[in-house]
Amino acid sequence: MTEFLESATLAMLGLAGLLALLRVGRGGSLPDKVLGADTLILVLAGGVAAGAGITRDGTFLDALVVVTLLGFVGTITVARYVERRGARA
Amino acid sequence: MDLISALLMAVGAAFSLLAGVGLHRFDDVFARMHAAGKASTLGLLLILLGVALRLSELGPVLKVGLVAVLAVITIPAGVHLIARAAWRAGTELADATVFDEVSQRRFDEF
Amino acid sequence: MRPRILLAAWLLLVWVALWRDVSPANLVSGALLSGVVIWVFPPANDAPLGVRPLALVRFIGSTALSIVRANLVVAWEVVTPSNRINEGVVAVELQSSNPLVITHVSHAIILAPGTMVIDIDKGTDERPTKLFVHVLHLRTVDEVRDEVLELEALALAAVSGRDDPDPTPPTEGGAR
Repeated sequence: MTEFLESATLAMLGLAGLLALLRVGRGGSLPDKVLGADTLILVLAGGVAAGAGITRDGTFLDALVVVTLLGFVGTITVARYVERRGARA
Repeated sequence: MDLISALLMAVGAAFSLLAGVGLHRFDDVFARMHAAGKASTLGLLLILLGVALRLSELGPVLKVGLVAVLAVITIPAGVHLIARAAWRAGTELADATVFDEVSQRRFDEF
Repeated sequence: MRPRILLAAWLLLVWVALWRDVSPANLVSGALLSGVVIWVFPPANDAPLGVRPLALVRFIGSTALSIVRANLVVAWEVVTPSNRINEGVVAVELQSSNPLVITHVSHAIILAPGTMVIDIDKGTDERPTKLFVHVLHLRTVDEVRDEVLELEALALAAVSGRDDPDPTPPTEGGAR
């Protein structure tokens, strides 16, 4: 049961990442793409966290901090850029 | 204990998936933002809770806690910044969107 | 509590968490290092922050509950095929213009079900701060305002903030 749940976790995260990536590709407007990228990196953070849980390996946690903070900094940077430049894709 | 933690991680992943689906389910950026911002916050938190239950030492648990705190602070802030950028850059809202008087004036400014 | 003590405690916590090691030696080196950091970069304003711990816990608890509720609302909206969405943007005037309070209120609003702060117009002495709130299920404007003011009351109880010593004139449309 535990193993099934672990596989399901990774599968759902993978699918979520794919959907987020699809939003980045399809866009709509530029903020849509930014939102997609933000969601993608949060899903990635979730995946790294799940990796730490499944393997019980603490080194994943080091990567997790980096991913979370980089996601935030990246989102801020791009959001500010969009704000100045306008939202045309 | 392992089962509970696996269950928490699966539910967290389900919420992340919900965020992914939400990105395609709504009509404009702002509605998508509701789905993505909230669902991915709770998703990540649940996964982290599940991970924390599995770790036996205090140090790694503290680190998971640190990430959780950072996530709760940064995710809403990031989503708000995207929303603000979209709003100020004049992204189209869904046709049915209702404005009150003050926000209409603000919208016309940008 | 003075900011520099809180800051030192936070730095120590981050140090220990990043090392994943709570041994006495690590605690001592972390404490020394956070002391040095605060000695080299002292906080610009060391007046007490104006935070009430008990009310802050209450604020955090209610925000945590509202994250869960918000997710159930969003989940319902995503999973069911019917579309009950009625989007709207509402401007809400806040009572307080303290940056710390505004931050807490906005955070709580973003994590609350169906509401999202999309712009902040920071007020001056004569003009109140306005939050522009995007609502997913708009029924009445007054309902949204009441909800926001309720959250503000909670936040005000938790953090009164201190007087803003920063004399920079607020730019149109808030901080850039």
